[in-house]
Amino acid sequence: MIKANNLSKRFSNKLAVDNISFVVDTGKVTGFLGPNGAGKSTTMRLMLGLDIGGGTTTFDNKKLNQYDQPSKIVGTLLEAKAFHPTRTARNHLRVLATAGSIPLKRVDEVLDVVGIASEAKKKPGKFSLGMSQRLGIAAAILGKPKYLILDEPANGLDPEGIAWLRDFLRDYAAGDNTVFISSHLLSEMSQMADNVVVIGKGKLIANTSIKELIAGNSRSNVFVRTANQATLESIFKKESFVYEKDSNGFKVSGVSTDKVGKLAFSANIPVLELASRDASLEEVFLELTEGSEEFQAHVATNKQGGKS
Amino acid sequence: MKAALKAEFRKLLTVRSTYFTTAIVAAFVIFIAFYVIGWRSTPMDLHNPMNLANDTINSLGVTVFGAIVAILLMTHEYRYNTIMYTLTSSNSRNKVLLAKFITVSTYALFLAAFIAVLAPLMGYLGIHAHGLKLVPQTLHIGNLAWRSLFYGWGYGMAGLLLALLTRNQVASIVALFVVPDLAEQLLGLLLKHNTVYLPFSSLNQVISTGGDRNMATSSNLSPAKAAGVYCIYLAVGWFVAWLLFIKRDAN
Repeated sequence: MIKANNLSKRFSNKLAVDNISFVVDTGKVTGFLGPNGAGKSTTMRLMLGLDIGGGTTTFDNKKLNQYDQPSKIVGTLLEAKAFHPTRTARNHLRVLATAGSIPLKRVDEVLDVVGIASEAKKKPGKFSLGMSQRLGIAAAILGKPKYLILDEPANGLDPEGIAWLRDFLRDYAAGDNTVFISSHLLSEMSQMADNVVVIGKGKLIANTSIKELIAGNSRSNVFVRTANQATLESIFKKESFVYEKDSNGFKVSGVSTDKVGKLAFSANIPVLELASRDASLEEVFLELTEGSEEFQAHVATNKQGGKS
Repeated sequence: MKAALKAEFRKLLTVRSTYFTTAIVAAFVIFIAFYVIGWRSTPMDLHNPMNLANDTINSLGVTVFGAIVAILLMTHEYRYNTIMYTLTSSNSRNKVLLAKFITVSTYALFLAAFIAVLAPLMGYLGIHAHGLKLVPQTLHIGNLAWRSLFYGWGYGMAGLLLALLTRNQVASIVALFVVPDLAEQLLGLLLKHNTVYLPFSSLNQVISTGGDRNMATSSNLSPAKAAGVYCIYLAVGWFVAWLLFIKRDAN
């Protein structure tokens, strides 16, 4: 288990990370979400001791520098292009293997795992972003670490690569390992992660499971369609339900399909459609981080150069 | 510590700049010692018993390339952000810094020794290739060895120090050339005789007496004193660099 306690970091007059504490469970993929400039990368760097700031992070109750061979405990990918451009991919990994006291034969294994074994002797300076990410993932898993901390590893990967990464990380976590991953691809994250940590403007907003996060969101509702809308609406009013009415039916918040179904049945109202509609992770994310974006874009108008 | 050290050597030996720089050094030494000093020897040179010793000392100027290798070893880490891997692979920044120190020292000493052996050999070959005859030579091996090795090591350390302080490749290389060749020259106008106590001036005095171990002028420090002065600068500089390396964010 990773425990981050009171992490904080200030850059001159800006508080980038504001006393954040959270837990990352073992055996699960935990997503790390936040708008641009929220402090995700800085938090990850603080966790790894790369940035000097306040707070502590423990991995199985020990700080990373209390382990003899840290790269066998935590594998990291913080930047895709973190390699010397003219040192071959294999030599890049050999350097990392040597630094981590990892057998050199492991280098070819991980190159094979990430699918770039054929590029082993090439200089990575001309690698595409996707290939660079694969090399970064190879570096992260080199020491077979229990913990993976990955910053935007899906950036630049093609659809096949993203699907591979999703399956790979889920399998990795299932082997009693822990994956902590930041991403802007929220649909991917909803399929990949079990839990999420959400931050905005350096502050912790949520640290929970994706299921709980979505279930507790106001945009999750029950949709019901009936031929007898007037009667059903009167029941909703009597029960003080929060609902929205449209031409097709009702969206009822804060109740289960069971409850709506039973009420309709007891009133002899034929139900034509009854479904639970969860908010998407993107909807929840946007609601949670509303007002905590560091940078906000505006819709282009003709005066701003948009074409009509 | 052993792993960090092995990794630093692997870094040094798996980039082409190391080989390219070493090849440039070899080319320079061969050209200067064989052609300029050997082939084109004047009768006065041929009658100088210190000719090959001077040849050795005069060729040591190219150890500045050892400093460039040291700068690249350190600044590549920040330029390409591999410092992230370097620091998360080790449980102590002190170990990383010590590994860099040992690696640069080893390379700088190797380079100085390489030059110190190659230069007199090439000078001798140049003279004989031109059909000239050299008078018997006096070589104070021990004295030449320590001064050559210290000078080469001193430049390597200066390069690493500048890289640690600036963490920028261009700034370090510019500083390496500007400080000794311009800044200290300008300061010399103010300091006059005390110029000999400036860092690169003191380092240069380790070899400025040429091949003669006893030759010291009233305006210069002896090689041993000059080395001592330079070591004081290195100690202070390294203390500051160590503090910054420990306390600064790794980017």
